[in-house]
Amino acid sequence: MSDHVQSLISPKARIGHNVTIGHGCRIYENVELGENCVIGDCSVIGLPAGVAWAGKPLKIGAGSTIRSHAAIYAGSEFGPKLETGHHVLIREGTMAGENLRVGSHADIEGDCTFGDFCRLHSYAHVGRGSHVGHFVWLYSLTTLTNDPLPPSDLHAPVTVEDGVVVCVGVTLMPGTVLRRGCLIAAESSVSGEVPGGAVASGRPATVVSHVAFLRDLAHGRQHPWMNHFAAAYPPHAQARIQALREAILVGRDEFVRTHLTPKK
Amino acid sequence: MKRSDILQLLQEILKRQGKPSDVAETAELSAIGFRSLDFSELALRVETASGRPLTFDAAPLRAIRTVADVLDFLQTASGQP
Repeated sequence: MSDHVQSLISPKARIGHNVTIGHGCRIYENVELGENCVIGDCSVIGLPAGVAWAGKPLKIGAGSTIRSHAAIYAGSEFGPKLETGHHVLIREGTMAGENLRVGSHADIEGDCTFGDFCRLHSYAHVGRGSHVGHFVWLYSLTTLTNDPLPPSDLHAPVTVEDGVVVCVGVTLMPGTVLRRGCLIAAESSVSGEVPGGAVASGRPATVVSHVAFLRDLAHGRQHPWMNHFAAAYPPHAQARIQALREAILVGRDEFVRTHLTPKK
Repeated sequence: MKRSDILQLLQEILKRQGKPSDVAETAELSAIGFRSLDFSELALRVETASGRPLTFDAAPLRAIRTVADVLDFLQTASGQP
């Protein structure tokens, strides 16, 4: 541990080997930091959680990087190699697998689950209670809502299954379910259930195609994204990525038969 | 599927979006507002209309810039050059 002058670090916090903590941080007592973590300046780690998660620790896996001005509450658990941008807020009860990446200014409202290798870009907002699978992409300004009758104490959280891509500026209305491998086009507003592998677009979004037909016209790259972007993940993730790709493509013909009526 | 039938489907997609649909084969896709998303819809509709699965592996991996490129690509992918 080094460079912790001017930071407040509880002596009860469990700090792993070779952890670097920047200036002006506060590390609460209920925190467990794995080895080789880096905590950026002015971050607050392990803020006391609400009643439901009171007394539960905050566990952050080895090799994680928390950039400056993050606020992460107790009662959450992150696998290895969590990476956050600056000014990230993560509330209590967030459970995430390996290598969750959270862009600057993103906001995770707690009681959420994330699988492995999820990517949230800047300003994503994940409403309380959301469930996000493995290998999911939530691009900038994506909003996962949860209140079907605002303001209320009702909760209808969003579910996002494995391999889904949600493009920039999308709103997912309360209770939305995005099935495996679907892609939501930019600026769409989605409610209900989007079938596996579908491409949905518009406000309100409608299903227009299947990702197997989606192609970048300028470069010739072909969806699903596992075709051309698997190399962005570590070797031990490759088999899972290819299995996910196959599962999406296997569903293609059934999708065409059952979910689409050609527009006249 | 005939080239003219694919062109008609493409025009229908443009028309539904309120874009000019009377396009020449030489027209640049960027100029007529035809996007990747529209391509995916067109490909699906070609497959549905032809009743035969498209095989993108058979089509060349290259840039698609014009309406003619789209028609060439989808004719190849549908196995009917």
